Amino acid sequence: MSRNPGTELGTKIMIRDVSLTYQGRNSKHGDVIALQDINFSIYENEIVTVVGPSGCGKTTLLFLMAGLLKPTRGEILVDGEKVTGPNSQRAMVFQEDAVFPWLTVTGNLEYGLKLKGVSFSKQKEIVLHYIKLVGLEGFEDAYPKELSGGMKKKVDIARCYAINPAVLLMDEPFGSLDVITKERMQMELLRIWHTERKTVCFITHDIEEALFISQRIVILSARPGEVKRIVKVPFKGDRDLSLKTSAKFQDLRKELWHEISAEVKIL
Amino acid sequence: MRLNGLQKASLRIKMIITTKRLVNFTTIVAILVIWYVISMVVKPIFLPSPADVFVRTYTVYNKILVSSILYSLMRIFLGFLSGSLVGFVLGIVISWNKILEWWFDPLVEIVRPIPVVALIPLFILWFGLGEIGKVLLIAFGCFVRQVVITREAIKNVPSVYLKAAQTLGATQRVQLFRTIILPSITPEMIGGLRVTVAAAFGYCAAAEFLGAQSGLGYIIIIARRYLYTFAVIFGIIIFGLLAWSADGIVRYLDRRINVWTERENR
Amino acid sequence: MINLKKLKHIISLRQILGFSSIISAGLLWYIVSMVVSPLFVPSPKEVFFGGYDLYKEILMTSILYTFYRVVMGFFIGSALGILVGVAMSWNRFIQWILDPIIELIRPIPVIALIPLFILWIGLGETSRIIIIVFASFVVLVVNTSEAIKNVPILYINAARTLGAFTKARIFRTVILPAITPELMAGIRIAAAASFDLAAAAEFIGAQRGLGYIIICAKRFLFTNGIIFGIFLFTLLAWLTNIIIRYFDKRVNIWTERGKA
Repeated sequence: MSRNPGTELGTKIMIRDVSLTYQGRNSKHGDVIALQDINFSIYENEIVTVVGPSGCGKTTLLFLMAGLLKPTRGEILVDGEKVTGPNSQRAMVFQEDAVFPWLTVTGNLEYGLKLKGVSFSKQKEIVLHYIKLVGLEGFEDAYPKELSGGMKKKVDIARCYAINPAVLLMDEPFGSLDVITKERMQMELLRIWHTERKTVCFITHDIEEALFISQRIVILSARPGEVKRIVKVPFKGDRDLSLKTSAKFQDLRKELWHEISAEVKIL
Repeated sequence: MRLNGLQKASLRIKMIITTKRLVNFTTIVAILVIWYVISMVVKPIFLPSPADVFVRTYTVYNKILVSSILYSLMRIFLGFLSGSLVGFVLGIVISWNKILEWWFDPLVEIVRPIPVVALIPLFILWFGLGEIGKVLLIAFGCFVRQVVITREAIKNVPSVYLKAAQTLGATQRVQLFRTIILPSITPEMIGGLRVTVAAAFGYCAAAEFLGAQSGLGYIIIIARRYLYTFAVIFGIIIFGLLAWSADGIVRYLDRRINVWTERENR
Repeated sequence: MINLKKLKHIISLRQILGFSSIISAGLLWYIVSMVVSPLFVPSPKEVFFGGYDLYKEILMTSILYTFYRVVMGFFIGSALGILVGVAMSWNRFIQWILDPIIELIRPIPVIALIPLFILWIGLGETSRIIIIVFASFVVLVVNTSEAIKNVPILYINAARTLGAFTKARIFRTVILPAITPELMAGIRIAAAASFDLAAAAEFIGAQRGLGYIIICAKRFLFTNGIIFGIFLFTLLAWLTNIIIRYFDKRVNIWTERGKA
């Protein structure tokens, strides 16, 4: 297995000539090209955000990376290996509430570990560690119904972290949260990421969110989705919410806003 | 707004009066009273008094009363258990993959509308008046219902749970079934169980009316022939009590097993 | 070369599997009937052709009789049930009185009530219809009150802020439309139960109807007649279900019904 040495600039995910076309059902509904000629790489331990207008295929791209969909053309390589289906190397945090309601917080974190066959004592150790990391001490035995939206997202993130995936995929995970919780979660995500680095691919339509949390931003065009531009985010690692009101931040935001807005054809 | 002592007391009394238990209790008492009054006025063939119903039935049927009830309960229990279990398993098989689903769908849709009661004469012909026929009939009725309920429940599992499980490492179908689908359908299944249990009682009654030599339904139908209304009513009350208790048991199971569900309290 | 892609558009795998399962079930039936005596498993031919021959004179009238009973009973019962359900939600007092009574009656399997109804009303037409009326009534009353309880307060509040002041108006314009999907589900359940009850009632003592055909066939050990009768019963039940589903779709065109 060709694994790049753990340098910060090693390529973790390589997306090569990926296209996805949905077959038309009959002559009335023709083929729909969702994504076309997607080519970019994500490097080890960086957070890359994919943004674009609604329907441009961001989620589709993430599902392709996860292996939940197969590309019509091209391939996606993670750690040099082709993606053929979902597995625990590419854990995903979904937009909807995907925390299993019939398991406690501990149960949810243990889920992936049990499947891997991790020993009982090691399970306990890992679960405790990540509950602490995301800041949910005291809620080990709580059921999801007792938790707030933000807390459930934390469980989801911890659950993914617990199985030590190669990459973490996140599909607009904070989209359903209120503004304050959302910004808090963005800070939390950065904090968690700083403590334990992971390669993250993040999807959002919130430009500020993208600028705030990522190192690079991939802009997709409207359908058929193509890579329009890749922007390197100039802010340093240590960010806090005050960054959002700085002049440089707002300038970049306007720039991106115009670029994406040009792609949106319908009001 | 401060309440003085009297207002507080009347509020408390009001709260007690409107609690469901007390209302039910009062209704039962009220119904018994009304029943008694009407039975004084009407001929006993139409409405025997409450006393008649309980005392006379006991005197006339006392030897076979308890055994009849037990016979009926046994049939219902066996039929319901076997039918629901097999139905549950088949429901899972049908939902295992698309091919099996498409194969079995038309068969399920054809069997579904069969009025189970209409099958009773056929079952009597096939199995005679013995136990097997009745248990099988109840089992068949529960079986059909359970297949449909299971299939629906599995279809309604939110796909995001399955996707999340896959990205957490559950890549085999068996894993997904065991760890995701089964736990998540439990609330819906237990709800469906209540319906199936109620239906089982109905099927048992019908089977015992049409072809039995023992059981609660048998007592009822024989009593009708002798115009012993009191026994008929007695049998009906017992049936109702048994069905109500069975429902209560399922509801209790529901509360214990489904600790994690979000209950909407209105 | 056959254009495979075009063929795919005409016949899908789903249809192929569906047809083959029905055909194999039929074949299985045929094979079993060859092996087992016709007293237990008559062949398909004996059931359909033989059954028709046996009862062709009274076939139409029987079907109509049974259908008439079910439809009458179920219509009246459902209508009454919906009305009372609405009344219960409208008026606290009515609810206070009726609620406990209905809760008391609910657990009783309606089939068990048949002998009582026969005692009270006799073996005639009326008792049979009354039983079905009663069963449909109970189902729909419960169904309606639950459905009304479940109407999101959100809609009622929205209507009020848009100018719906009277209870009547809110009921008419918000609650009734909102509960139609749930009502239709209840109606389907009532219809299915009605057929069960019709069968039971006809078995116990009818002179006409599909149940009567089945009982006659049983008396003479004409198994093919029995199965034929069951088949007709099922056909009626299935037809009724289709009709109800048609109305369901028409009335509930606004609900979010994704394809399962």
